[in-house]
Amino acid sequence: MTALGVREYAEFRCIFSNHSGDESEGGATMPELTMEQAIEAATQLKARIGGQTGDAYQQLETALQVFKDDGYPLESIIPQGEDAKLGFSLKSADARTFFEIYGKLIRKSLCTPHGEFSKLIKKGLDTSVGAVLTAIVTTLGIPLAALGVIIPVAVIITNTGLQAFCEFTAPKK
Amino acid sequence: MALNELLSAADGLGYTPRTLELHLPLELTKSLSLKARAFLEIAFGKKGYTILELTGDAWKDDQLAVGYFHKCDPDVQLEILTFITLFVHELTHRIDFLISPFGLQYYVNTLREYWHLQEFVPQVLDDPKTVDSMRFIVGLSDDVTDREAIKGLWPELKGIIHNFYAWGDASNVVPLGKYAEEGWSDDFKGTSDLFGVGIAMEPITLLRMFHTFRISGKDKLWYLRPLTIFETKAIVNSLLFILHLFGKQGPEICHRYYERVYLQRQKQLPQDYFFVLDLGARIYGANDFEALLKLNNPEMLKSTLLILSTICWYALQAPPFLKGQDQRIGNPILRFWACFLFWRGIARRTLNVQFTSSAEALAVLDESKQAAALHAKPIGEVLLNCRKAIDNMIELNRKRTWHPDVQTHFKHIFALMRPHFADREPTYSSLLGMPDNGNPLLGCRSKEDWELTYDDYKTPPAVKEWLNIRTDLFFNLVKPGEDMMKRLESHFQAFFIPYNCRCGQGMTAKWVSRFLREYHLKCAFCGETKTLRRDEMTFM
Repeated sequence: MTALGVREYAEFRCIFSNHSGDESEGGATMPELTMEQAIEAATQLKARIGGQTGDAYQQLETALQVFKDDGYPLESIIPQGEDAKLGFSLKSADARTFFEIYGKLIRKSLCTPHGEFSKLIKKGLDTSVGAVLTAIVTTLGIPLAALGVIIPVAVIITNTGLQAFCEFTAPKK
Repeated sequence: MALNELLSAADGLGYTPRTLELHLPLELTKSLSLKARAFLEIAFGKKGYTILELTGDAWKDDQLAVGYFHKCDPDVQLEILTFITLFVHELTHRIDFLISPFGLQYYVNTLREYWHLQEFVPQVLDDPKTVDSMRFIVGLSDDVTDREAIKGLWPELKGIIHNFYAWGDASNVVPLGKYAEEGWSDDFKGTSDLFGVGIAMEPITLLRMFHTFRISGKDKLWYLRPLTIFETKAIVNSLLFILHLFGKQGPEICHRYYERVYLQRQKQLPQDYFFVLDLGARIYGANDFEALLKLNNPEMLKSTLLILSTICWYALQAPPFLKGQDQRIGNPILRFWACFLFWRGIARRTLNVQFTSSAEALAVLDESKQAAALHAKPIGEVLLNCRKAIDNMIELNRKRTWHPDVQTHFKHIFALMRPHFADREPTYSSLLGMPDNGNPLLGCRSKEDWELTYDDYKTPPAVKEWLNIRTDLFFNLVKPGEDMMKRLESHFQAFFIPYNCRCGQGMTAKWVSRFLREYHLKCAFCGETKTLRRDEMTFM
């Protein structure tokens, strides 16, 4: 493991698994989270980093690495919307690129006038990271195996503010 | 900088083999600098050009054009070459898919998969349990449904879909790590220098059917796959074309081109663009392909590129396997391995083979025990398989493909492909498949050759619609949304057919496709079967 410090990696696993952190680096795989565990982990992460979006991106980077190390290619959770083609198009995604791609996907599905984010804003739940996470997971049909990746995404969006997120990612007129 | 803009625009460029479409982003030409545009005008004598003109080589003997090129800044030179070779690259893909036995295997399996799905999908649309499990269809478990009709279709459909998944769909789909197992079915396992050039590799099997290799200790998700062969071949052709255009100055230009277009973007691009080039460079003792380019040795560079072109062409001769045949004969990676070791032996003089052309050398390989051990069939047998397969598919497409647009599309594809198998001599010789000058378009001789390059065919929207759904439905873990279900329903024109059996115990209903000519129904109560013909029914 080079992109990620061993300590950071172990810590990241601990956040989501409530394990003591003594798993050996080679053999461990991140256990699949339940939705409740994911909400708890997202709440903890948000509390820990406060408004530091940069830290959330760092967590996302770590989560992407863990996801890949567990044998999941990033492509498996990025809908292509087209038949597979040969070209330069495939990129290995860093945290910001991944968030850019997912941001578009989330905005398209959740930022519409009747979308889940609009409902959360109306209900005054737009600062609840748990509500944001649940909305993303259920609307996009995210598999349990990828919850670890979506947790920092939900934190970044909540820190940005739902209203602002939907406006920021809106296509330029 | 115009070159950066061009490379960024090129990210949207790509070839989709199933639709035969070359995707050309508008920004591609918009991003060209004034100087690069001026060159194109000088070299081609006008402002608008076709792809065929752009990939021509007449300007290499035009002193004005060549002189202008050399006076340009190095970045403008690379801009011009990047622009031109992008088309050589993508046309190489198009031609390789349409004339190679592996390409035929790819289209045959795509159509076979469709035949099963035209029956499978309409029946699962009314079954919430199955629909819910349809996320990532490749992982659909065998016991997902108790319904007899679906259970009967699933085993064969699973075989085809898993095969595509194991291939990475011959594009950039990456299977989950859990589907890669160490070793091959014949107990061949363990890490060693399997290609004999000092790179530790391990044999692995994808989805218990596809034998291949991955680099030991590196990215566990990457493995040698059909995409690796297609991309290597396209890059090799681009570099050979640059050598063809610039003669002695070619190696230095190739070096700058490879460094800027590929190496500087190595972090963003998958291994498929680099691995085989590095492997090939090691045949002559260079550490990697960049090191080989730095040697500035024209003979060594050209020899390496021609060897790689030959190896990749041999790999792509993996034919569709017929009933009763070992499916390993359709594995291009096994052929690739056999051929790499063979050429390594020739280049390093550990193997004494007399030949006057690479095609002749490959004929020698065909007769070897090594090729036979790796299930690489001789070209005569390969072509026999291909002719049987393509004639069979043309006939079956007419009978079995329900959707008229899908039927028309495959009729077109097989019509383009057929002459390249029917008329091909049983040799590896091919001006299109392994062009010495790197440009397959310069190898076009017959009407059938040129037809491969025409871009005037319009893929029917219904075909595109299905193919746009397919990748996400099969290979993506994200659950398909309601809109995808609606699109599936719309594509397969599914409708609910209620049937009142004469036993009088109740009504049986089934989702069927409107394109089906006969509907086979089975009473859920008494088990009696009934066949209804479409032309005898009234649609409301």
